[in-house]
Amino acid sequence: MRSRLVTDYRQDLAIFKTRPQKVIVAVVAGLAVAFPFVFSSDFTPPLGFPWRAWLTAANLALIASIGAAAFNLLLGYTHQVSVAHAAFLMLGTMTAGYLGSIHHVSFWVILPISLLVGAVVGALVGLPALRFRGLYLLVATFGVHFFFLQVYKTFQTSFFGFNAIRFPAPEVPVWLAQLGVFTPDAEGRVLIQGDFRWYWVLLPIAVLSIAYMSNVIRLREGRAFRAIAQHDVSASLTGIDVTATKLRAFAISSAFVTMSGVLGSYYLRARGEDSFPFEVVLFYAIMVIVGGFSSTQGAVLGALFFYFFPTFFDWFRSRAPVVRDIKFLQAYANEINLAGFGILIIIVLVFRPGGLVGVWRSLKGYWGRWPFST
Amino acid sequence: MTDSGLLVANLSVAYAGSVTALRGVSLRVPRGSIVTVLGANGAGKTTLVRAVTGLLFVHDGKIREGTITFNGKPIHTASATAVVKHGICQVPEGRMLFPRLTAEENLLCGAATRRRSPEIDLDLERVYQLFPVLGERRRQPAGLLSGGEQQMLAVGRALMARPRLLICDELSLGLAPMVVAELFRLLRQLNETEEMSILVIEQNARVALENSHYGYVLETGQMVVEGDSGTLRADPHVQELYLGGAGEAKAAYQALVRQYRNAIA
Amino acid sequence: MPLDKFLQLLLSGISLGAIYALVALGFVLVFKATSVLNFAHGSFLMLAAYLTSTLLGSLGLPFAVGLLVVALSLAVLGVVLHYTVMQWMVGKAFFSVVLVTVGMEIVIRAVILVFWGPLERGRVQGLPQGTFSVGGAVIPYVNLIILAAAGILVLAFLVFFNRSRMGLHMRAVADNLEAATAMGIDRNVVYAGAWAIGLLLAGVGGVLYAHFSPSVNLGLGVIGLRAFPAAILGGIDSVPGAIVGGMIVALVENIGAGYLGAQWRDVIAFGIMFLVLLWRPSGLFGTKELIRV
Ligand SMILES: Nc1ncnc2c1ncn2[C@@H]1O[C@H](COP(=O)(O)OP(=O)(O)OP(=O)(O)O)[C@@H](O)[C@H]1O
Ligand SMILES: [Mg+2]
Repeated sequence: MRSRLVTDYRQDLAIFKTRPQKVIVAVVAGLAVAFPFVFSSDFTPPLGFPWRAWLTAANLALIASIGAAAFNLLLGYTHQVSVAHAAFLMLGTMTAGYLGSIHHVSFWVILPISLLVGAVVGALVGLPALRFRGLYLLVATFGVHFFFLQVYKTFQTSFFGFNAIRFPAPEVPVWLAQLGVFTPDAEGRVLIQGDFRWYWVLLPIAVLSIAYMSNVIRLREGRAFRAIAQHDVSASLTGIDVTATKLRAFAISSAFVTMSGVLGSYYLRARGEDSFPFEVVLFYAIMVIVGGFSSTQGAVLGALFFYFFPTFFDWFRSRAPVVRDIKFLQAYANEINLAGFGILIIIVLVFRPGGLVGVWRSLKGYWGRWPFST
Repeated sequence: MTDSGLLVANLSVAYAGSVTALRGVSLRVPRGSIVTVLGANGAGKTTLVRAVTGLLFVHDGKIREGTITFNGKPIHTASATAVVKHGICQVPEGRMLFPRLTAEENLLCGAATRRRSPEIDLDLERVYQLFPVLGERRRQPAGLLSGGEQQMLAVGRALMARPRLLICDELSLGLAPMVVAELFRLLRQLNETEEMSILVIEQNARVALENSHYGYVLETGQMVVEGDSGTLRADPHVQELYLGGAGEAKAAYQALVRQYRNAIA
Repeated sequence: MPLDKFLQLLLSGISLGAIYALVALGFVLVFKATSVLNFAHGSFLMLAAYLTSTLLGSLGLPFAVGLLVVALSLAVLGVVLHYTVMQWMVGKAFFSVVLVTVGMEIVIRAVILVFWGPLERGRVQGLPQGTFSVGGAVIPYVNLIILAAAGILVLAFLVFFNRSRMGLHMRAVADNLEAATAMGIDRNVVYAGAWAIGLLLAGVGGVLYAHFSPSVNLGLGVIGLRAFPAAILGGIDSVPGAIVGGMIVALVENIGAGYLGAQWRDVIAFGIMFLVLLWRPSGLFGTKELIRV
């Protein structure tokens, strides 16, 4: 691999350290911008490849990537194992439901409020982490999940009856709407509807949130996180305020999960109590671990994998030649999709326990050393 | 030259794919002999034991080169279980008992690869005869035994495998001289009466050389000296490095000790 | 009569507790011997319950025969899973291994959907259906049989674990893996054995639960999740802890839900665990520092 010597502190703190890195970032940014235009075009690919479904998958992945990065901040960097993830998604939905659906507060106001609510509740939920460790903390936060689920059910039945909570389509802020790029609807409003518009709302929010979280990890705070991950008693001896640091990690992580809960609610338009089974937590764990533990890129990759793979697999099962003729596969479409996903997770982890980021790194290493690579 | 006994030839071992711990090490433990390997901390002694007993994989280590044979059969690719079945058992460095199992259960684990038979009970009794303390404490968790008792238990556990080659890694570590002498007397007795081959890994060169037939010195992964134990004891290099120096240096040291004693009296 | 109700809840709680204890025991055994936190444990119980509904419910096998068949099938499944999947994960990062069990749970769920479909199936009624009353509490015979079966199995397990050679090897591997390997204990055999017995216990739990719960459905995995509070409350690496923990969780949950309403079951089960943990951060019988993640 091309060696890179760091000669001063500023270089070490630089975000994009090498030329290839800058190139990669530029390419990814270009692809991200081109993506919605390509996938919302009226193009009919061969074998009935579901063109537009990719845009939906991308939007879901953008929302999930915020949650996955937040999950990773807590688990991968501070090694505080919390499975209260879905609880904060519920908190986001409740915040959005109460303020947005009942009191008609604007989507754009709810977002920062949800960050705040998430941070405060997150710090409270983090309190047991001061006493429990490892597996005991993990299972204690199981309890938090079921408690929130009960609270959520009570909330939903008392404000919305037995129906799911419905969310209005948010409006584009007035100043943006007046730019004239958008055609307003009959009532003169510009609503955020459809995958194409949502993509442009979700992309910047996801990029900003993830950039903020990676910054936290990269700077002083992040070093404190990693120090407690290693050993909290030793960390306290080096002058790190362990209590405050742990709670801060919980607060930051929970804030972003809560916000992604709000985004998810508005994007999907309806949420009910069956939207938050315990598996949701496991799904996020899949994203973080299959993506690559302790790596923000890994979390994002994991989220993309989680939403793109099933879309791809479903297409493969139903359209690919030979495969589409196997009756069994078509008769049990959903079950096969589910099993395919489970088996893929197992395969990835058996062969690449470091996750997708590991694959990426070894590819990078291979090409970095080329033509001397073995 | 016969091929009976342990034969290590040109052995190289690396950990984690890169850290080389042994380089071209060769060694022979003829059947029925006691051989010692001396070496400072980090010389690679334990690595040698792990390589012979098939335990390298636990530490992400690999044999890069070389062969190990026991009574003519290659064992460098054998699993740890197979090695024990071939008749090689060890008293591991740091004892490595099962702290939550009782003393007796620890001993029974030593017989893990043997067929279930009444002989195992007889061997149990034999260990209790060799170490009567263990008999008294057979129902106690091993973690609660004293250091000396734990080492006896580790030896007893290895004996339960009925080994033809016993490997002791730093038997003397942290034990009172009395206990060390006792354990070595036992090893010699086993060697004489049962023809058991014994490989003694030691930092305590004096005791090791007094109780063995042949010795090797390992330094940073390579064998540097070998010879009859008596010859090694007289070797100035070995004396200086492993026997606390000779002549003047020793006298000066003893003077220092005397001075210290007087000061605290 | 408030006291009658309490007695009723207490007595049905004991039967439930026996099932929880079995499930938690299997979970703890796998964790203790192989260091794998098995998130698929609940789905094995669910699989066993579905098998029960077919073999004992539809095909009408006698209880004892069906129990044996289901339990042995799961034990075999455990061995197969070890040698096909889990073997490759030995020594890998803790969470990667946990996730593999999550993958297994997803696959099992899919398998159940293929063979049994999404609709729930009724309670299996192969056992005598009568009831009798004790001091005002009505107890189905089924509950007694469940308690007896679970009790016998727990005892058998304890004898196996503490007296047999395989049990000894399992404890040795749990205590010090390297030393066990040095003594020639083959960890793969021990791991396969632990999976077999862990799944066997979950399997029997599933058979019994199919006779206890009002229906067999895809929500049964939650009972497997009960292994978590039960095991944690007892101390996750402790065998007696799993038994006591399962009993405590079931009793508190059953009585609490009886008075507060069934929707509080989950909250109560985890709540009691939470309280115990506040008092003893590593459970009732557990070892202090367990994993460094
Ligand atoms: N698990 C491991 N991973 C990487 N390197 C290791 C490992 N174990 C030992 N080493 C390295 O291998 C070399 C030899 O170690 P080894 O334990 O064999 O020495 P030793 O002679 O037994 O020392 P001591 O007398 O302290 O027991 C050392 O440099 C050590 O750092
Ligand atoms: Mg050593």
